[in-house]
Amino acid sequence: MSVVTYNKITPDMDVVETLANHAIQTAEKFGLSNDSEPDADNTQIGSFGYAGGSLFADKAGKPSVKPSGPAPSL
Amino acid sequence: MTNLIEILRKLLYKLGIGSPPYDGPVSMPAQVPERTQPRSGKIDREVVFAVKDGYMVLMVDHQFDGVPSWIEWDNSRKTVSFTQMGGDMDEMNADIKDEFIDALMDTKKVLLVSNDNAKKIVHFVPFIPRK
Repeated sequence: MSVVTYNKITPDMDVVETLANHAIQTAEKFGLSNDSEPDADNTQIGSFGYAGGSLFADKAGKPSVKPSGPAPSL
Repeated sequence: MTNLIEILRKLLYKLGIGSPPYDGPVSMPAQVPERTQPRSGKIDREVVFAVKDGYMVLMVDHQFDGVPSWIEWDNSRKTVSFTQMGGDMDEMNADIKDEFIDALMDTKKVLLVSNDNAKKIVHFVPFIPRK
């Protein structure tokens, strides 16, 4: 099942897919399921190595916004 | 000569007109950290909301100073606040598509992926939506 993002600005979907997969694997390895409830006093469930890119193309973390409307004619 | 000065110092101290003689290294008072108020900051980054296999996963390109304790999403302000243990709070941006707002209003818990030096760290955190 592919990942769906809710943001108006589209991030790098390969990065999102990778991070989501790792997060879910981490959660299930910790013993969580969709029915589990979080403990606000003990929220950390694990970590994983990651050497991929950032969520948005801009390394500073600001999303790049594509202009809407037709492309200008040259 | 040094001994003579020490003798004179002790003599003056006994007469009540001098400072106490030096008896070894002076111990410095321990540095007491200042008690600080919880910090609140705005970080100009977008929080990614992603759904997969029934899990809501939030992702940020940011390393928190503290351990995230709960997350609030305020749709009217288009912000997400991450309250950490100790009271610090970081606020980030989130502009959500209209068709997903109702789904987010029903969300009560999320997996949060954030930076931890060269790794990614995962937290399972209560989520509070506000329209």
